[in-house]
Amino acid sequence: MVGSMGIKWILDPLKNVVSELAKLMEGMRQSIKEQSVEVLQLEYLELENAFLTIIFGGLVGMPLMPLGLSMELAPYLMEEVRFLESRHARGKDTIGDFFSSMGGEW
Amino acid sequence: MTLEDLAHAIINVAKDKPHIVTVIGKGGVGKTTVSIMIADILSKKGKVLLVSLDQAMHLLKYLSLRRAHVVERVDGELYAIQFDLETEARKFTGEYSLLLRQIMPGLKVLNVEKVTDVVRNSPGFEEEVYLRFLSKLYDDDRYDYIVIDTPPTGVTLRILNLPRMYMFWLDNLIELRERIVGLRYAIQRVIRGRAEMRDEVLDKLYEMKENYVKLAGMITDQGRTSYILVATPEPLPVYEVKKTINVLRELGTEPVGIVVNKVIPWELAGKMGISGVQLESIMDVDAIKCRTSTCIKIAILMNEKPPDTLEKAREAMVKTIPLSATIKHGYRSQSSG
Ligand SMILES: Nc1ncnc2c1ncn2[C@@H]1O[C@H](COP(=O)(O)OP(=O)(O)O)[C@@H](O)[C@H]1O
Ligand SMILES: [Mg+2]
Repeated sequence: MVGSMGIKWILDPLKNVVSELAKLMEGMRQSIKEQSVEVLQLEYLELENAFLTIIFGGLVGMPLMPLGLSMELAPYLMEEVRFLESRHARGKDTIGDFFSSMGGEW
Repeated sequence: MTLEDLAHAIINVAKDKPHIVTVIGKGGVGKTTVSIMIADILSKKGKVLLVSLDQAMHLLKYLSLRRAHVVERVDGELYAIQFDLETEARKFTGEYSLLLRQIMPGLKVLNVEKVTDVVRNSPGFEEEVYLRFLSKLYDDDRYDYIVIDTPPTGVTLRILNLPRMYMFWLDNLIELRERIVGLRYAIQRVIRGRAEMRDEVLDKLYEMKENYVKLAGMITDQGRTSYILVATPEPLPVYEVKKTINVLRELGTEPVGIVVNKVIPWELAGKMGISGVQLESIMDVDAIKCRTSTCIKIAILMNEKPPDTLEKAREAMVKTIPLSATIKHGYRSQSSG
């Protein structure tokens, strides 16, 4: 009895520590994951921006790519342009916009 | 060596339908006239479309076409169309502003009329309109031969260079888009566990690249395109011919023939005091080294009356001789005069 009590006395806190540790590690894993995703997302957004700017920059006076090429590509870029537009309209919530732009259940 | 020989050289190298014959030269040297002559000869061997891209629109008058931008049958298997840049440019800007309205309904800062104006006046716009038309011609296999009377040399050379410029842009866009798609894939994998690698835009970019590589290839493939350069025996037109040959070589092709048009009979040239300039110019052309055996150099004599109808062009066409023959005559008249 005493022995088992003694063991429980040792084990219980240990269990707590382990589960706490597990929680902590899970949290860390999650946050690393989120952080790395965030970095990727930022780079992604930059590139998207660059891509669309190259294609449509001519419209705002930047002598960029030939119009004929922009025109050929334009129909395929409708969604992306809308996404970028909405990002400008809604301001800071880039990640939220980004998620919704990708569709699916986030 | 006559125009007939030149036409036969073209028939011999032609390996796919339609074979494009592009006639290049300075304004006024006789591009349109030579185009009519060549098209007429070729039309005895197959169905021919003669297209004048030259906005001077003399083809309308020479062949009594009813209106621009419509194909009309001229004679036998010879068809002709005078391209109208304005009509085609309006189509282009119309499509463009429609796209803009669809893509950016929110962009109210830019009104569509203004955008159309900007597009119409942006550098390189006309060349792009011409290129769209040219690329359609390469696909038009209803004709065996399509003879193209070109706009001013500078414009023509920029058009021929455009597919390569497009390829440069597409390469850069593809590289950027591949990175975007790669990143999106990585992000989706982390967040969702599964990801989609396919990208419609990237697919379109690959497709466009393929098309322009093909077009650039046809433009420089001697089995698909024959270039005929035209000059009069004067320094500037001859200079343009040399410049054009350099550009064609940079692109990777060679002219099939050089025509020196409106060679004035030596006696008359002597009286006019221009036989020296004429002889020098002809010798200058004669000295141009062709890299293919098929490169034919001929001279067309100056006709008393301008050959400005199909019938008169047929008469004038008979007065073609090998370029080297004119030099012999020239020397004789120079030494005797
Ligand atoms: N061999 C020739 N003899 C006399 N006149 C010519 C000859 N070739 C062309 N012409 C005339 O020279 C002018 C310009 O010719 P055209 O073919 O319209 O030149 P381009 O298309 O290069 O501007 C026209 O009046 C044409 O009739
Ligand atoms: Mg002309």
